[in-house]
Amino acid sequence: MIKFIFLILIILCNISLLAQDREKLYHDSLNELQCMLNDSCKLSFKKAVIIVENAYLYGNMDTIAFNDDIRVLSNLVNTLVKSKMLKYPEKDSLKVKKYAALFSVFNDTIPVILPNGEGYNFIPYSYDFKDIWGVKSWKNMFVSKLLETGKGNCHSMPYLYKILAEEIGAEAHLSIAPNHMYIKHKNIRDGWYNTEITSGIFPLDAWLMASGYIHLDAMSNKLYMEALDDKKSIVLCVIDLAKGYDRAFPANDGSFLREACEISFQYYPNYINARILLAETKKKIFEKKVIDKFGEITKEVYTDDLFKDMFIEIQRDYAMIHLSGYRRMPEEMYLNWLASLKEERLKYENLRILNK
Amino acid sequence: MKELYILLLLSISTGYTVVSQTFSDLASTTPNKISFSNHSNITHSKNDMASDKETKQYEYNHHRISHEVEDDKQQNLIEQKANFLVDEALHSFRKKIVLPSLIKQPGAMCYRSAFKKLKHIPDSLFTLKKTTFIIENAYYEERESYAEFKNTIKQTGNFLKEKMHELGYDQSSNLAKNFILFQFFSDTLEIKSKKLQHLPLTYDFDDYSGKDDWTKMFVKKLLETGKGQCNSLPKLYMILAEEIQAEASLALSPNHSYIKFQDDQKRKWYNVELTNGMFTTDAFILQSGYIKAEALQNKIYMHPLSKKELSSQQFLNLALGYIHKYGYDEFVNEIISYALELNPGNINAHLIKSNYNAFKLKYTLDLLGITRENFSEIRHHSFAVDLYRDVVDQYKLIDDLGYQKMPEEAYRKWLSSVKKQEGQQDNKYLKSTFKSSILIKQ
Repeated sequence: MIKFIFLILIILCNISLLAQDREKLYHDSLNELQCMLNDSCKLSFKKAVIIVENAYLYGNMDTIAFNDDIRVLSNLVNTLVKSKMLKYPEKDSLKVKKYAALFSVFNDTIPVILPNGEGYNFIPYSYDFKDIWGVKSWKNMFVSKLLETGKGNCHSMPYLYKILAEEIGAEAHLSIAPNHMYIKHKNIRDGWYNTEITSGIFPLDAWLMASGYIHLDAMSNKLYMEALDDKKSIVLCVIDLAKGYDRAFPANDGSFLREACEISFQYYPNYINARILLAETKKKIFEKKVIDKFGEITKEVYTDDLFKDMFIEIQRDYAMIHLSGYRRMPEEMYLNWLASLKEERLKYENLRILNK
Repeated sequence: MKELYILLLLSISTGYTVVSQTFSDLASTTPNKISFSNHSNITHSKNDMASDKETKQYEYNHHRISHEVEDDKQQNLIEQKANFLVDEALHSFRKKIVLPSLIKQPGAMCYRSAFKKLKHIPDSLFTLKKTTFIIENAYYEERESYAEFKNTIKQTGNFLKEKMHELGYDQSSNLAKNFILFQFFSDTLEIKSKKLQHLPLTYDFDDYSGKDDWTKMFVKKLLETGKGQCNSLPKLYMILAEEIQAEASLALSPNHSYIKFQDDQKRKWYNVELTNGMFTTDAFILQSGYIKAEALQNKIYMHPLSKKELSSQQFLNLALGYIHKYGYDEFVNEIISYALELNPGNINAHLIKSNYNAFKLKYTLDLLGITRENFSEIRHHSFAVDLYRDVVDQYKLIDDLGYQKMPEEAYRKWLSSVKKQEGQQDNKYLKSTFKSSILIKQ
């Protein structure tokens, strides 16, 4: 019995120690990302993703395996670049070849012959319809999960694409849509075009816009569909880190999240997910303070100047978010919308990219 | 005899070398001619030799060859001189190539004076009514009467106000004003007390882009025939909105324009598609498939035009009329530059500018005799290189703005998806052919 209690004590101590370590790890991670943003460190999207996922995984992420996987994949892409023939006449054809090779890796079953003569088929990654927003397990959003299981979502798959593009020296831009992420490329012949990795289609902008789920203002205010540069992509990681922190420490006081949001706004002021996270965080703190002081939300709360100001600020934030064109999109609606691309493929497919 | 033969051969060969030397010098100017004469020369003399090997003949040949060589040298000199002169001449306008002015063409002056008039209208006095009239009148070489035009608009405005009164609409509501305008375009309106009737305005599918007859683009034509297209219909709407003090804005989409207005609380925007008299959603316009996200982000499409942007659009219309009637000269650039000054995001003005640049480049290359085959020659002419760069830069700028060319067929397909009930429209059209004018007294 004594032994047993002792064991429990040790475990509890360890957990609290772990929690402290994790807290510190998160702060260090944020610093590292900030370092990339302010040009003090070399900017690497791969590294940023590793930092974010490693922090959530208590620093126990198998980075060697992760790097190995990425190396194997980028070698595969490079081999494909060499063997690909494209019907593309412009002078940036090498670049376009790289894009085509990346696309293949995500969509095609590729026969590979190993140096020892053995052959096997490379099976492309598939979309995981379970827990698409990481509600059950935050790890479902991770690239490391995608590499381990071969299944990913519209967060991890574009991230992996971006990482591989970075590895092979191709320019790829992440672009966001409501609850969604896809890739934008530019070439001489077609200008900007979209690559949708989750379904393996090159959709026209009209798909995202005309489906009716995005408000016109949201597009003209660059909330969505903007080709993000490398720094803005790092900002995506900063907010991922903050969200992971919120999941790791549900009872946090919000200061870490606020800090992460402030950093984000310096480099990507119109990042809608950061705006929402900040407003949600403020709301959470407000509610917590109300319960600490009053027990529940009553009219009395608004007679207190401090609380009244806080409430007005939150209200203003939400109004701004609404005005900028953001509308919440429930999960079912989102899945319908994703499916609409395949159902109405004829209408929304970019035929120019396919040389049709 | 044999010696002579050798001598002859020698002289021919030396003659040949001389010729070939001059030939290589002249290579850049007239290679074909020289090589041809040279060739015939040799075969000729060989024939002579086979048939008649007399000294006389030899002397004659020798003389002839040297003569021809001399001739070629002279020609070479002349050509070089001519080249030099051309070069010199080009040099003198190296900094600036000017397209030949079309001002001498009948009526071209009217466009100049229209441009001046438009420029001198102060912002506060800018009305679509006035500017539209100036633009259309320039095409008609100033033979139209403004008083008449003004009167038609005024009458129509009064008709609308009266109808609003009759229907019991709130005269101060922007929504009501826009709704009556919408009805004016799409429904049959009657004022029973005065026995006035107005039939809906219809879309004219025949030559809708004014390719054959530019006046098809005009509000005047719409007023006269009751049929218009996606340029004149929204324009008339805007003119009438001005007349009855309704707030509405023009908005652009690929190859198209339509109306946007807000409700009285300024909370929601409505789109009016006048080609079929329907309220449409943003999604419908986006469905055309030729609007890129960048185009929205740069506000080149689907964004309500401000007064200044509207004015820029009017200058563009002036330029379009001029180009259609006369073609490209420096005056086009003058108008377009002004339009772009007013609205640097005016995509259609950018497109015209790019056409102008391309036209000018072609003109210059023709002057220099540069074609697709010898295009690398362009590097010797820095001004032509500059023009070429202008063309390329302008294309890039247009691409970056998010423009994507919408083929005419795609546009037509999209437009016909606008007018779903074609039959109904035809029916309306048939009924209205004999009485389609703005005001009909019964």
